[in-house]
Amino acid sequence: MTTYILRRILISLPIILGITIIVFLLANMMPGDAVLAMISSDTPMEADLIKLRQGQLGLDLPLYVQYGRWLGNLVHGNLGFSFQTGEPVARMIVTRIPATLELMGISLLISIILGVILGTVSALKQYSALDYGLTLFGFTGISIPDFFLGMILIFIFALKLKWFPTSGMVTAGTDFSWGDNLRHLFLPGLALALVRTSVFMRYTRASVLEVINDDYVRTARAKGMTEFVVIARHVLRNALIPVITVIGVSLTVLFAGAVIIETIFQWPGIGLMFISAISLRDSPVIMGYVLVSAFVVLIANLLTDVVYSWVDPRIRYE
Amino acid sequence: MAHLLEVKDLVTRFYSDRTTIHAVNGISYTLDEGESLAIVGESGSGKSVGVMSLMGLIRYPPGRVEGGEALFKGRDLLKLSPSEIRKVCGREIAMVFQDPMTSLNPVLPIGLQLGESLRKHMGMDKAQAQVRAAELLALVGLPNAADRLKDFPFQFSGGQRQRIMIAMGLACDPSLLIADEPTTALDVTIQAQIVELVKELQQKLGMAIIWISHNLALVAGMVDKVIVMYSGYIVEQAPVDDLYERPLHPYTLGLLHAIPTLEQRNQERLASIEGMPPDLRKPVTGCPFAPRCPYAIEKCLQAIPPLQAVGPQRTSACWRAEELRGVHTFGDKL
Ligand SMILES: Nc1ncnc2c1ncn2[C@@H]1O[C@H](COP(=O)(O)OP(=O)(O)O)[C@@H](O)[C@H]1O
Ligand SMILES: [Mg+2]
Repeated sequence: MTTYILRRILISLPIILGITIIVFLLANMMPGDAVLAMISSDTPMEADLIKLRQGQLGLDLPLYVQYGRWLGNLVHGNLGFSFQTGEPVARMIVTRIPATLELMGISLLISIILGVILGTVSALKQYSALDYGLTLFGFTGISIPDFFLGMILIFIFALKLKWFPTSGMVTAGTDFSWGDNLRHLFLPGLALALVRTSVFMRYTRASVLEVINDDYVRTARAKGMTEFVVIARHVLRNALIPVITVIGVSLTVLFAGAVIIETIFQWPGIGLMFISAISLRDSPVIMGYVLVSAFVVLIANLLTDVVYSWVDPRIRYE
Repeated sequence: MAHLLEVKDLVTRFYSDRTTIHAVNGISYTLDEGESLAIVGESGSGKSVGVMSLMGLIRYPPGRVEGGEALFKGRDLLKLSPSEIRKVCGREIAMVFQDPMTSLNPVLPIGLQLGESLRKHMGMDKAQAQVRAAELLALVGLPNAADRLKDFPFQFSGGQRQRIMIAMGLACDPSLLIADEPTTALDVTIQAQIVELVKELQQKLGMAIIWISHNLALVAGMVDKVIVMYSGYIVEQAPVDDLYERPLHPYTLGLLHAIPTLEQRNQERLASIEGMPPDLRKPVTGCPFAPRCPYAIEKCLQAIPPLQAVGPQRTSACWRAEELRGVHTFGDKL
């Protein structure tokens, strides 16, 4: 198992290198100019001032030299400095990522638990009113985009009903408290979780229906196992194998979705950081973010494979 | 002495696509402690549904047990609540299924699958269950049993898996073991080994056995009596030797005729009874076998023949059963 994981990580190294090149080129090809974005448009444009700033930031060197420098720094955990604030990008990411992970983690956890339970119930009560209701909910959830759902939630629960705050992670000017934090987390978490719940529910339902009439399920019943054991141990252990892949893929979608939700709810994670960096052409920050997302994809895939081989012995022993 | 199992007028139907499938149509039989019974018939004749009905394994939708009684040790299995029937299944009545490739859970180690009934029914803890599981695997002749508890079904051959299924069936020392075509999916040589194993285990442990098969020859050497099913009905019932010597229902005659002789063994196709298998969607008005029966007369199409005594401990559902005594080969003139 450990060697399997190590091998997977080694295979990932060239992929990571490729990603850094693409990230670097993309950031450099972006339209707009960081130096111009820094200098407010009503300052008289001093050509010398621009040249000076470019020289300080190393932007006048050939591209491959810039890449070499950047990569060398990267290996040392140095992602460069924000053009805007001069803050190290690595530190910006480290301080903001817990917020993103909290948002993603909670949404994912809720959507897995809810999605699997509702999907299983839906399958067991196939063609009942409950099943039709959940199916309708599922299709609605899948069709509504995250950002739209986010705005609806803000409108109803924050602006009209005033049950939850509209933005931020904690109430400004108060000490941190979990209760306050969770109240802030509720709406963005819900906006992110609802779509995923629908997806996981639909896949779980289909997958449970696929195995529910399998022979080993009948064997378990013939042994006198309770319905709960039959479903939880025998049906779900098999039905969830394909669902794991879906969850793995949705990890990366969730990371992307977090960017939009963080922006709508002003959730101070790295998605919000990314969006403001884009509008300011702050390419070190943009590159930092894109690198992190590349890692998220790699880790998500690795995690999926590991969990997959853990639940399906036929893979593990190959 | 009271019978171990007494099935009376069992009726089971399936409801799918707005049609009713009459899978089991009022079958009755008895089985004593330690006795062995074979249920034979072509595929689709209701053999599996008949025994699964006893164990509460018919689920609605689509299927439902609609009538009859099944007294097991004096209690009607069909009237037990789901939690009561679960105490009987796996504990007092165990079942081995047809396809060992699909009847074991592919993602759980076999030790766990063997252990779960021991833990539920015998109150063992995890460690005790594993010790007992290894003993059971050794009992059914699995080599290196103790080392293989953590292995998964795909790591065993078909014959080994069927041995594991049998070990699972025997786990709680049941008084009745139902084996539903346990050898159909296996190679001929492995088939013989499994048959030998079950015979040997029955002698050793003394449980009653219901052995389901579509192959009359296979069960010949191992059971006391035989029930022949056709179209959800019992058409003949007799001690095994009597049945072979003188079948008293044309369908049984046909089945015996369909047994390949030594010379035919290597032929691609086995001889089989001519004609279409019955359509279970229509309730019959006459003998269900009449459309395929060379001896059918007017009466056979008009009235269902009742299962009547035709000798000591034997019954047949044929209007012309007595006349059949003179017939030796299926299709011979009466
Ligand atoms: N789950 C089911 N749904 C619908 N019909 C079924 C189902 N199971 C069995 N049947 C019907 O019951 C009849 C008897 O089946 P079965 O008892 O399995 O036959 P066999 O004698 O081969 O064991 C078959 O014709 C089949 O169509
Ligand atoms: Mg069958």
